[in-house]
Amino acid sequence: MAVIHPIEARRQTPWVVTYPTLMLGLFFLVPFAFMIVVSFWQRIEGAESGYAPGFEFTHYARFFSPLFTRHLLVSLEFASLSAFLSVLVAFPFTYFLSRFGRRPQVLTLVFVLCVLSLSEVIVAYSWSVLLSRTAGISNLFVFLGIMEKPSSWMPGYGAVLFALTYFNLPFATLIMYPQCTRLDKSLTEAALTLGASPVKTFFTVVVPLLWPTILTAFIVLFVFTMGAFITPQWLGRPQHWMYAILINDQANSRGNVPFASALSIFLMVFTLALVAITVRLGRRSLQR
Amino acid sequence: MDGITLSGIQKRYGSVTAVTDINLDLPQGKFISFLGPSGCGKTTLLRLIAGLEVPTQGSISLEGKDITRVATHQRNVGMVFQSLALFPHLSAGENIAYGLRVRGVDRQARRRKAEELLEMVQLPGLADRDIKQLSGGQRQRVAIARALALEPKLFLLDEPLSSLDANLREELQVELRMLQERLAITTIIVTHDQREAMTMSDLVVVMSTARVQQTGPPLEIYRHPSNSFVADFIGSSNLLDAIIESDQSVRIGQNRLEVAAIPTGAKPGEEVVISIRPEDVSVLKNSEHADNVLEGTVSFIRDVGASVETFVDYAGTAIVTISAPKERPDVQQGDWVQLGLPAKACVVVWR
Repeated sequence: MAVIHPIEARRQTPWVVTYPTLMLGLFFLVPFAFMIVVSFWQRIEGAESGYAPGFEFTHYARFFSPLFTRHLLVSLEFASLSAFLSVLVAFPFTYFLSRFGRRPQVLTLVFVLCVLSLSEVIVAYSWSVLLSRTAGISNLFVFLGIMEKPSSWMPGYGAVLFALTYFNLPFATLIMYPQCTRLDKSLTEAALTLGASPVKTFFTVVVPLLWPTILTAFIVLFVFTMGAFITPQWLGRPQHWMYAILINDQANSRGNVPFASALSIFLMVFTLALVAITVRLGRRSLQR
Repeated sequence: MDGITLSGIQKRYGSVTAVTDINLDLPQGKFISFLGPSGCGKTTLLRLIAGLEVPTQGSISLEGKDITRVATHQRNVGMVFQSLALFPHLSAGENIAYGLRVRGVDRQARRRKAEELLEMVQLPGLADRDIKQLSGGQRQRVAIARALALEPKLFLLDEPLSSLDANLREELQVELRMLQERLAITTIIVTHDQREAMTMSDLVVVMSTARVQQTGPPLEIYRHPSNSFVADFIGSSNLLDAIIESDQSVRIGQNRLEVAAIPTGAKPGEEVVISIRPEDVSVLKNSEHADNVLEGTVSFIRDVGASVETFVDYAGTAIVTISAPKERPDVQQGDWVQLGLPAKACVVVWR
């Protein structure tokens, strides 16, 4: 009998735990610590590297300038709206997909995975073509007689929101799919026998039971989209630029790495705080 | 016709036939069991009646109205699922009142009705309990109360007691039957437990291999099984291959046995099966003389206190007799004995 003594088991675990810890430390914690340190360094205009070691809070003080506050709000708006819209579209889709037969389910998931494999660059570029006046879908509408003449739908607010939502849809589907398939079919059948129409069953049984999953998908996509970079830059006007573009601008165009570091840390802390609040609120609404 | 009528029902899933050739008249206000081994199609039949499946062929009517294509939520049936399917996000009371909530009944009236129903299933004061806090038996009762909350025309139960331990199951069987008698609601229960079916039902529908084998009151099915499957499935039975000799007798190997009757249309020379219940077979004492006798060796005696079973090996087939401890036959393993098989207890069925 191979009985593993608790002490022996404890002696074995470190090797298993060490590897992820090592990787996490090497590729996440060390660069992150470095970034924190740099964010307090001194900016030297005209110098070759653009900054020198030091300790000052000047970069953190600049957050609250109107420009950065406005773009933080733009990021927040795009991230929450596109996360909301993609969950809104993906949830019913995913739920009904999970009720289909095995074969159509697998085929659809393969298709969704194909869309997922497209990079943000390709998605943003494709939509910039499809929303343009010269080669876009408005030409199709003209051909069908729905519109009078082709028009350009980008750059603009709608184009950014649309492309971000599109990009999020397959992620939303894959996040929610496992829990959707696990929902006991007899629960919805029970609701039907109790006189609830399929629509009513969806809202009174399916949505409440899968609420934690819906919330998880929303949070993941929100965090995801907060860092969006290519889509708003290609499909939006400067007033639609999200925070990542400003960070890139500071680091690569202006050579202000300490400020870019400070902005990154601020964005992360801000996003985490919002996630914490959302989780708290989501739990309370579930207990109601 | 008052109750439910199923005519020519068939349900196929691809190439698999779940039920076929079902013609049943189930009377209003009775307690009906669909009894059969797993995979016989009994649950499919129940789901067809609930509208959770649509038949491939045939029609279903309830109180004279064709409901074959009516959606489940418009049929007014109450159903208890095998998994119970209680909503985990609602309390016991909210579960029971779910149907009322869907119909727009206000909160207070819902609460009152839920409490009333909880009292009916003997769980007063548990309306605010979480489903997770309830025991198996309590959940059972909540599921029953929920199914009855809308005063449905039909009360359907899909093996609702199978997950409970034996004592609780028997207790709930009796309770369920009493509840049904009080409410006089047409009730159909799916079960694989013949004892459960016998305890509760007015009418038993025995099913196997996608078909109805026999329909009738429990005792009639027990005493006059229409074929060897039913004889074997309902209670235990000794089944002996035989050949018809005349209107009143059959031949088993070298022995001739008198029987009560032979199936209508059966002719001499046809192969049939004799079914005789263990309690009807007796081990004869040396001095006793009987007409219908088979001889064999005692192969095993099982004495469980309340009853004694004697296994007698007759030409390779075990014939079981069962007797009360007082009438324990005075035999031992290995003895050569004579068994009495009264003619009126010998039921001849088709193979």
